[in-house]
Amino acid sequence: MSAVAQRPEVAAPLLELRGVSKEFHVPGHRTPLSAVSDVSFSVHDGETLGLVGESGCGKSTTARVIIQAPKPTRGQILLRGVDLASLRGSALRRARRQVQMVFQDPYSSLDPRWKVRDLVAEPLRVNRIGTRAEQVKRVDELLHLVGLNPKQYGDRRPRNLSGGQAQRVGIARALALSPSLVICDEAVSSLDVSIRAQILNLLEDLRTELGLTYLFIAHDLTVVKHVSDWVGVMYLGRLSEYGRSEAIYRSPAHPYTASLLAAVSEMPEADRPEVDEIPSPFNPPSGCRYRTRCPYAQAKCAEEVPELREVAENHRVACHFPLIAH
Amino acid sequence: MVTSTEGGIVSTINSVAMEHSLIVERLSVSFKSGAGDVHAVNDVSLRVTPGKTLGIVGESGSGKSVTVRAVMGLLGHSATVTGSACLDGEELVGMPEDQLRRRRGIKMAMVFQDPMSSLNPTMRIGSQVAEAVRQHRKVGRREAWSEAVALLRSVRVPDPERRARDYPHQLSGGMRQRVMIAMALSARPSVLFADEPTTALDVTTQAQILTLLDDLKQRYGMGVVLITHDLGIAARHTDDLAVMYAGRVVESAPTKTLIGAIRMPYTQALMDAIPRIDAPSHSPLASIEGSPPDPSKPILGCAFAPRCPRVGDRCTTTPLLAEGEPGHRWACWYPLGVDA
Ligand SMILES: Nc1ncnc2c1ncn2[C@@H]1O[C@H](COP(=O)(O)OP(=O)(O)OP(=O)(O)O)[C@@H](O)[C@H]1O
Ligand SMILES: Nc1ncnc2c1ncn2[C@@H]1O[C@H](COP(=O)(O)OP(=O)(O)OP(=O)(O)O)[C@@H](O)[C@H]1O
Ligand code: SF4
Ligand code: SF4
Ligand SMILES: [Mg+2]
Ligand SMILES: [Mg+2]
Repeated sequence: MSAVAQRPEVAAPLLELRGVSKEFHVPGHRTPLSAVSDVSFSVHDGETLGLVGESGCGKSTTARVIIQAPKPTRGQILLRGVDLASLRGSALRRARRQVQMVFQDPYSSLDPRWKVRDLVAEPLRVNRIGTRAEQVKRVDELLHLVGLNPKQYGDRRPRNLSGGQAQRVGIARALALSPSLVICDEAVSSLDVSIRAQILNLLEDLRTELGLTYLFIAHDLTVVKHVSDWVGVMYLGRLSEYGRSEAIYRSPAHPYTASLLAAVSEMPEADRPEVDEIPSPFNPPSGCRYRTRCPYAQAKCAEEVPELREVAENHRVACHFPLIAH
Repeated sequence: MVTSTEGGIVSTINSVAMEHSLIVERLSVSFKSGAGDVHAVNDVSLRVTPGKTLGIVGESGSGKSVTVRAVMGLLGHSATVTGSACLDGEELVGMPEDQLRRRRGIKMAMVFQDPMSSLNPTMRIGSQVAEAVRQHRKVGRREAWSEAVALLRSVRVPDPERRARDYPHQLSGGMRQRVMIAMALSARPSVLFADEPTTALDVTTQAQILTLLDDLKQRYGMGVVLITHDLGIAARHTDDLAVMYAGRVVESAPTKTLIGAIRMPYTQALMDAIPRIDAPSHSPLASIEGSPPDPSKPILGCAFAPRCPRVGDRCTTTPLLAEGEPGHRWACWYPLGVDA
């Protein structure tokens, strides 16, 4: 047995998803909506996994099932090797504290009636962490950490903050409980270019300073490239490609990834079929879900679901006819 | 309130009326506020050509939205608007609200930043698009519904017959924005203002929607004003560009000219803050330090001076926007790539 297998508490990735699916039953629709389907990946300490894909492909749903709100329909979510579904009560609450989220719209995720100080203290109060005095000290610390002077900003309300400042408050809140994993769901998508650069630099500084691990969800492939060590590409609820970010950006193996990259760079793109509509998640195509838009689709693609398999070290792709065979 | 414009400008308006569908001349907007008036937009001049896209780029708070809202007549009574905005030869500044309302929708329409706040959460999306159709044309409910489905299909909502019966909360963010665009397009306006319409969308949808706008603007000769803070998108999807800072246009030119030879240090800083797809992971970004000036305080000299890497002696005097090269205007004493 290897040393790794003997010490699972060290070897276990911080987060692991095993065959996770989420279906929604929507009134008026006979079939359930398949938002996330059989997704497996892991995130290791100190590394950032970027999750990309088109609108509606299931990125946010993946994030939400990780924090068990809502629970997945099938599959397991393991935090340091422990299945979250097996936890109850205080054990579950403790585990969930390890994972915090930063959302897209900084204003709508902050209660407009509260002062910055109280917004950042809220997670500490709810979880009864520390005395009043300790909480006050911790809030100051957190505000400094995200680059806000507590004296200048502590007593402001969200409407008196700029978008970038409000997002810094959102980040401070997420960091209050000292999480191991921070899920950024489009956390910089609504910020303008210069503030986005400031927040991206802040997230990177916090990562090295606090040893944070990120699941970084974004639709902007350039931003994802900037922050990620690993990248997962989702299409219609499925993970279509997963691997080291340099490999995926240098030589995308899935036709879908190639088309995403072509949209943002000068990369050549194969001719698309005339009809280029995203199929309905209520009734996804048989076999490969991308086949209705794929320029390389063949008969096999309608018959067999392509499994995620390795095309190179640290590079997996779910396609019967990958673009590279290394 | 309308101020008279100089004779020279008025005469050019007539001679270029065919060429431009919207001509904005020296538009200024200020808001009354307790802590001194907020000068949100100062002396902005823009031209929109049928079948072409004008991009307005700039940081948050630079006055992009206030400019187009002033043109649309969507600012409340706390706003004082001066200057001129001519749409197909008609002056919009000072036009009575009932007349403006008729022009909104039919002659000019707008797609907003935030789709959720503009959609009715208790109404099926198909009904909302159908209602927009019925506001502009006298058609029956059935016809409006099938037109709504067609519009949803044209903005690439998958399975539109079925999704038309969904409520907004059942859609992802991207789908909701497609619905908003379908509603704005329902009247086939002569100018479409798109205020950060694709900011929250993924790249392929962004590309698809911008391509869709390209198709429509050419087919109907519609002028498009695309507001974005992403110079990358503007570079790919516009014909003309105006860069705004602190309520002023600080650089403007045909897009190819401007991107090919950026003159304003601010425009260059906006360009440098965009992460590069070919840079290694975790490399720090060049962010513009500091923040734009407070629009309620008077600005002496160049507004960008406190943040500008090229600031020099002359920058204490306000640089005016002037044509430095054919078709290329900038407001800077020490432009990049130009020998003094
Ligand atoms: N509560 C819900 N009820 C029904 N359907 C839902 C619900 N939440 C999400 N969906 C559907 O699940 C699919 C995945 O949505 P999700 O929000 O995860 O996508 P996303 O990748 O985050 O998209 P975006 O980039 O637009 O945020 C979509 O088809 C969406 O309409
Ligand atoms: N109704 C108002 N009353 C007072 N000030 C206002 C009002 N509306 C806008 N402003 C101010 O005018 C300035 C320009 O705002 P505007 O919304 O045009 O910026 P923008 O360039 O569209 O920014 P963003 O990219 O964030 O949308 C800002 O300083 C803003 O605070
Ligand atoms: S499996 Fe077939 S349809 Fe799917 S991406 Fe590969 S080639 Fe295209
Ligand atoms: S005028 Fe001076 S401060 Fe302003 S952009 Fe030019 S060099 Fe910079
Ligand atoms: Mg999402
Ligand atoms: Mg705006």
